[in-house]
Amino acid sequence: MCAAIVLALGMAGCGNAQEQHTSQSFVMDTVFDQTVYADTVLVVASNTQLVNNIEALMSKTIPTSDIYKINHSLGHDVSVNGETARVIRASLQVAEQTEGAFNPAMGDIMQLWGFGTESENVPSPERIAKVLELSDYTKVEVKDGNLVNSNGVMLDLGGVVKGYALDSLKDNLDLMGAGPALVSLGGSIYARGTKPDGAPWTIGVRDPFGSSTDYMGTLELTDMCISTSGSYERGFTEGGVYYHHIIDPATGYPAKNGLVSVSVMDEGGLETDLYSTALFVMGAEKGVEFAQEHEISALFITEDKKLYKTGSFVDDFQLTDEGYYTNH
Amino acid sequence: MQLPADGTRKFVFASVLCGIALALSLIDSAISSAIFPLPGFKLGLANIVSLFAIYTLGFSYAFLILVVRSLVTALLSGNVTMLFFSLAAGAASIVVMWLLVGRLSIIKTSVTGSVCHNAVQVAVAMVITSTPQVAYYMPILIAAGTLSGFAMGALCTLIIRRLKIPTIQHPWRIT
Amino acid sequence: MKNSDEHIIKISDIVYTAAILIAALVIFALVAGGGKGQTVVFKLDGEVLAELPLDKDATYEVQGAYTNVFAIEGSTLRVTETNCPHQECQKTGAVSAMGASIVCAPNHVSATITGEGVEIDAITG
Repeated sequence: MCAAIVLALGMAGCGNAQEQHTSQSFVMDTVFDQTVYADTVLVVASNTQLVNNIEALMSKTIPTSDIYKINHSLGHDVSVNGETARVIRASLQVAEQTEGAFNPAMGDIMQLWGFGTESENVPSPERIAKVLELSDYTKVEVKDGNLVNSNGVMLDLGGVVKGYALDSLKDNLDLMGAGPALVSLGGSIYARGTKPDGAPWTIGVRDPFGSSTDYMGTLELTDMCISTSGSYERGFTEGGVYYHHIIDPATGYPAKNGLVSVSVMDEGGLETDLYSTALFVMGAEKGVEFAQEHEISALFITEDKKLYKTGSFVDDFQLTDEGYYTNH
Repeated sequence: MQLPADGTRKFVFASVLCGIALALSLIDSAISSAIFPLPGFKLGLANIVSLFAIYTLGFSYAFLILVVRSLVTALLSGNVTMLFFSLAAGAASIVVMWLLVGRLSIIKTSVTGSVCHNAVQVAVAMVITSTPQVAYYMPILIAAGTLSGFAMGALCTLIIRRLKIPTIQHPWRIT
Repeated sequence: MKNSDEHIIKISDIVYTAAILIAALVIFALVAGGGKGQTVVFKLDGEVLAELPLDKDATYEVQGAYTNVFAIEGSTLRVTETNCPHQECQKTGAVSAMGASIVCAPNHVSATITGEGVEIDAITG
């Protein structure tokens, strides 16, 4: 009998070198899920801390954040964290590249619409016209030494911060020698390596016409990031009309071009977040053209269930729901 | 062999059975983790002790032994899910077997108990993992349980007869 | 108290056990034959185009050199329209068994019924 106990205990000791650690937390106003294969559970805690730190730097509502300081600096130079400066610089570059389709200076407009707050409402055309003038991203200067001057413009990095977090998480996981992992921050996903059984991470693309757990297609991702901008997230209905939160910087109103979602995949998380927003604003025609020109892998879904695919989506995306038809 | 009639001796006997049950349970875990994909699923080897206890010590002791061996096994294996499986399946099995004692032979009782044990395991697994597909394991587990139940019943019968261990009087026993 | 004269294993024991065993195997045979979670995998030039569930009525059009229109109805798969040379694919009729497939050779198209479902790790959106 003693032998039996010893045998059983001995067998219980054998196992994998890296164990699976999962965690779910709430940060950046959304759900942060992680599954990481690592030697220690500390990796998960450090990841959560990291994302919280990014939020502390780049949230526009936290009074001690860099962005808040810039937005309340009344035209003075503000010294910010190197990361913040980098993110702002990247945002401005993409803003120029997309001719304003992505605009990091939408602070005033977003505040006016009030998405996600109790004061969400449809602003009057006059007020929209007024704040449009205040959303000129060209006024934002990033100077050497991590100094930023917004010259009265209000920054809002909501459309880029999650993607940036993915990149930071990737670096952190590298640093800590972590194995395969899957991290999902409000729909922005980084798939690292392949699952322990050798299978790739399989990511579903949310069905814009279904619930948050319905998907209409899948992708196998390895060391890749993906982000999606959809009109079904964060919107409100007023007077029987639905207003989604992806505002077209040119009009000040929700982008109305027939698109319901755009997904972008890339090795860089920041890129996926920036471009998914930009391409959504551009609409299917201009978006597809832009994506092809700049070799961006994107998936466009229209309100009449048409799909447009560029880059890797063409070969790698597998449709699992009937009712969608593809035009390349 | 004289089965002690008074409380203390019965308790000591029960403890011995408990130890045996524990050993069987641990071996069971080691084997089962290699066969079944779901951690906590067990073949139910230790049920032979439950069966034995029902005949020689009665329901209360049998249940007590079940609880103790389930707890200790789960603690030693570091697997809490196993606790649910062991307790649920073991308890259902004991209750069913208790009702059948005296009406059916030991072997038939054991087989029925095994089937019950595995059926409950599958049911619990379906609920815990929220996947009805686990039910596919049901037929094969029941078949395996039937065979092991048969063997255990035969072994149990042999031990009780050869060692002439007195079985307790159950309220409804006809024989 | 049991009689020591009796056999340890009685015939009724064997019959009882055998009955349960057979019942279990019968149930297994019935359930396994049903084949749940079946998916139709559509391929063009060997590349997977789509995977649709067999239990949801749908139509799927594949455009290669020719056009094939597949229909999934009542858990069966068949070709309803095609403009390929001999319409062999349409003549195949309806299939529903695991592993069964309908092929349109001129169009390099195949639709196969597999037992795998699609499992995902996360959803983007």
